[in-house]
Amino acid sequence: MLKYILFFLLISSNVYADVFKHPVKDIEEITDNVYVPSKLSGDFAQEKEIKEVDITLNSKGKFAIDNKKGIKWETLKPYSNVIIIENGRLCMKNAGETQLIDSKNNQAMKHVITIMQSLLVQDYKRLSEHFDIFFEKEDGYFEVGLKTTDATIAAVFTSLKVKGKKYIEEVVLLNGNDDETTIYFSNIEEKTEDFSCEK
Amino acid sequence: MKNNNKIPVILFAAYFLAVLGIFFSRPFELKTDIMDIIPQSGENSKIKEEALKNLSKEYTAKINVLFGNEDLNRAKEAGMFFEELLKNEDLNIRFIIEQDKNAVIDLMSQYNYHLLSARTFDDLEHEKYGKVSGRALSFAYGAVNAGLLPFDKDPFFLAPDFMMNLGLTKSGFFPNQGVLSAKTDNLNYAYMMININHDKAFSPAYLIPAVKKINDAGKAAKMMFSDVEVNISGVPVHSYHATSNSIYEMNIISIVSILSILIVSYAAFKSANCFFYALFTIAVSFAAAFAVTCILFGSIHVLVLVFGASLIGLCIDYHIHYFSERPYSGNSYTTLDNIKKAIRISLITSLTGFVVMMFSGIGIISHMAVFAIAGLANAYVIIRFLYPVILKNTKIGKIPNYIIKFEKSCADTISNMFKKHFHAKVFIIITVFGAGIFMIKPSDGIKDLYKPNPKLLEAEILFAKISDMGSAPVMYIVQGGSEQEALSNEEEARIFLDELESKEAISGYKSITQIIPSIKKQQNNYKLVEALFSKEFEKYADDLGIGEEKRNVISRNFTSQKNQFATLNDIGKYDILKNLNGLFIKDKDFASIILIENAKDKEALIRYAQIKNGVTYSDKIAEMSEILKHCRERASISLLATIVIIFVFMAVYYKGFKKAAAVIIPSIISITATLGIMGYMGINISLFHILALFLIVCFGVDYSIFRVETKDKIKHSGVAVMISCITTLASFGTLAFTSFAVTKALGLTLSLGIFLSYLLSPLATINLSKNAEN
Repeated sequence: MLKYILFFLLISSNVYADVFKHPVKDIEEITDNVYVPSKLSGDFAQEKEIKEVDITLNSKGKFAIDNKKGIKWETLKPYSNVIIIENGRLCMKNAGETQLIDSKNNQAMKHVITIMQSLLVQDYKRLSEHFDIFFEKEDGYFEVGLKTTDATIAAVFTSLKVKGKKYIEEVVLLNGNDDETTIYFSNIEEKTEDFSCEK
Repeated sequence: MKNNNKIPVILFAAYFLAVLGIFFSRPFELKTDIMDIIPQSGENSKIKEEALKNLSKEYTAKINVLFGNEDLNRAKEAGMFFEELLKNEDLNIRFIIEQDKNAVIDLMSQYNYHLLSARTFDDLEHEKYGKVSGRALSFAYGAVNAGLLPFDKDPFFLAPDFMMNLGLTKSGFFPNQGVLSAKTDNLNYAYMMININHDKAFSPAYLIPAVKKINDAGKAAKMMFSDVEVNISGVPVHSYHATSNSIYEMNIISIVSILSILIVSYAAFKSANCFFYALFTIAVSFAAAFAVTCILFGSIHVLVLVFGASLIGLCIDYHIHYFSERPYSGNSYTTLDNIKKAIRISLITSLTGFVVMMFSGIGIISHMAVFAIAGLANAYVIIRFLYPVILKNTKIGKIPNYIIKFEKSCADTISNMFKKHFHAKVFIIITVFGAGIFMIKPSDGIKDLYKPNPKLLEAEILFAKISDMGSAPVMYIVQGGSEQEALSNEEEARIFLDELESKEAISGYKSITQIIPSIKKQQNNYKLVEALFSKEFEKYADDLGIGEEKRNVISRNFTSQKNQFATLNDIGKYDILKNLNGLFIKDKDFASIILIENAKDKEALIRYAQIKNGVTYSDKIAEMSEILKHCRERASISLLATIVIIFVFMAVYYKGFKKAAAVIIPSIISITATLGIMGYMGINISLFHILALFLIVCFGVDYSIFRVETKDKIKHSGVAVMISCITTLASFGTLAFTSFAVTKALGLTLSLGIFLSYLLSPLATINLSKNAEN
């Protein structure tokens, strides 16, 4: 069933035009047209392809974003895994093991965390430092395209599309091997939860 | 006599040409590094020296440039402009770092199954295969591409795990916008590294123009991008500033000294001849001293040259004594007869001081002593053997009356002050100034020896802050009978360092086996991964849904790496890793260097090195300061020994202690007063102040000797002493304004001491008169 829904969503995504044909001249073009709530939480379903071994990995879970507090990304199926970014710290919980990386003394990590946080809270002004930004709005749907200008980020992904109506509904990431990862968001609410790594 | 007139000239010319011939036939090195002036001593000094040389081979050729602006792209633009200006120079510039990423991927793709992070190694050794594959699953399911290598070459994501946990440094640099960047509170910095050709980094002929071009490019970038900060730092920049400063200062000292001689010559002798002969004596003595030093040591430090420039003032003393007497003697030979005893004793006492300096055990001080001995001996030979011949028909004017009167009034004032209650007054002076000696604090810190200019210091502090290289280098040198044994021993030492790091006794370390482990360790790592594959791969592949064909590809890729080991040769293949070359000695000995950062518990580090065979602890800065302290204490004892030796020599020469005491007392008072004044002024004293006291003894005694020896033979012996003092002050006084702490200390102390020695030199004659009267 999920496959059919995803297929439908994939087909429906074709209603968006190629956003990369529409570069943004002024970031306000986006901020005026895209609603970015300060708190956001909901469910996600992710579809990630790894072409080298011909597999597609499906997962789903919950997410929470708070512009001020941080981000929580919790995969529930098929494996339990939590990533929390809060107060400059990256916390990874996996198979009963917690790894905490404090970016205070690690500028490289701080840089990565800042970009990830900017992506998830849709801080387009900050993102414009590392990406060429594209934007299009049609029939009430918005689409933002990001193409990295930084080779370091390009190692992780080369381009990204954020699509949605009121809230963000879909993110498509493309890496250097042309592997595509699509994340669908649902049950979105403007509330957040605890971001503490210790719990 | 007439027939023999030309013999001294011919002999001298032959000697001088021979010295120059030997000098020009041997290459010599001009040294500028402040570290070169410190001797090596203590346990394992050879390997420590070798380790330091090996490290400096990498670091002495490296220049760091930071371009700073609020906008990183703007800083990057300035960097690219700067790079463009230097593109035709013989410099290796690393700015855009795309190739670094490719190098890391290339290295990891060959050896990823042999390189494990500490946590993965630990998990696999404890057979926690599920934990490793669990981590791999979360990497695989992560939204972004976490793999450094293609999935079929690294299904368990061992390469990104290794890189993430490398912990090589807590450096503030990170890749951003294609450059290595850093961020402080207000600014973004783009980092550029410039490597100067290693073989040429020590050659001033190459280094000075190369760093000048880099500095000029920095200025041009600053002009073009006025809102961008350009900070240039690194050892070659210090060498450049030190060398160009020394050359500049040497020129100034030479000009001031020569001008003072010209003025004194004209004022005292109304003759240009005096000046030209003085220049001749100085030039020949300086050249001979330079040549002898280079012949003996094969190299010369710029500090020796700066010190050598002040030798002008010393060489000129004998010349002035000759010229002061010449108008009042019948001929050039009579002049020599009247002064030769005085200059001979002066030479012997001066040489005594320099010989003691020569055995100070400090390379540069020995070089300075040899330079001074050669220069002074040469000046003596010229005056003793050449002057009577070449000045035979030269007319020299008599000293003007106003100079004679001035000198007489100075000497009389001092004499009158001490005529009554001589011993009591000497006692009071020694007591008052002696009390000041107790206020003196020692200063043995190596860092006190060299103070870079404020802009360079600022750039250095900024770079140290960002790169977390602020602390002084503490290191372990781990030796082994072979390359692999040294690497294995280093891995063992790292276990102890990891423990210390976990206790926060050190903040981290850099070592070569963090990147290239020993083959033994790599074989062990591979075996552990082999076990991971056999226990976990099938289940892991099932979980991910990998098909049979792809599983075979993954297995084949794994097996093909079995006998492929990363070796130290791999370092040379990648620019980004070349700096690691400095961490391994592969010459006659095999040794690995671990640079330990922010060592708080040095005692623990020392204890481990004491019990562990083949591990040597080195804390260069602390060791150097300890050596300087030891040398200062030794020099202080040698100073007392020198005074006693000179006193005994005088006593033997004068066949009695009274005359000897009369000659040496002014110098003792001068030294006491110099030290006392420095104590009251709060000047901390170093080894180099003590060495200046040696010179005060040598030259102070000369003034007394000359007054005593020529009192009845020469009409105006006091004037000659005064003129000598003025020229000496003119040369040493200028040293006080140099940028090197060493020469500054010499200049300040000597100026004060020499002036006091001159003022007090009449005491020698009063004391003798009183003795005669009694």
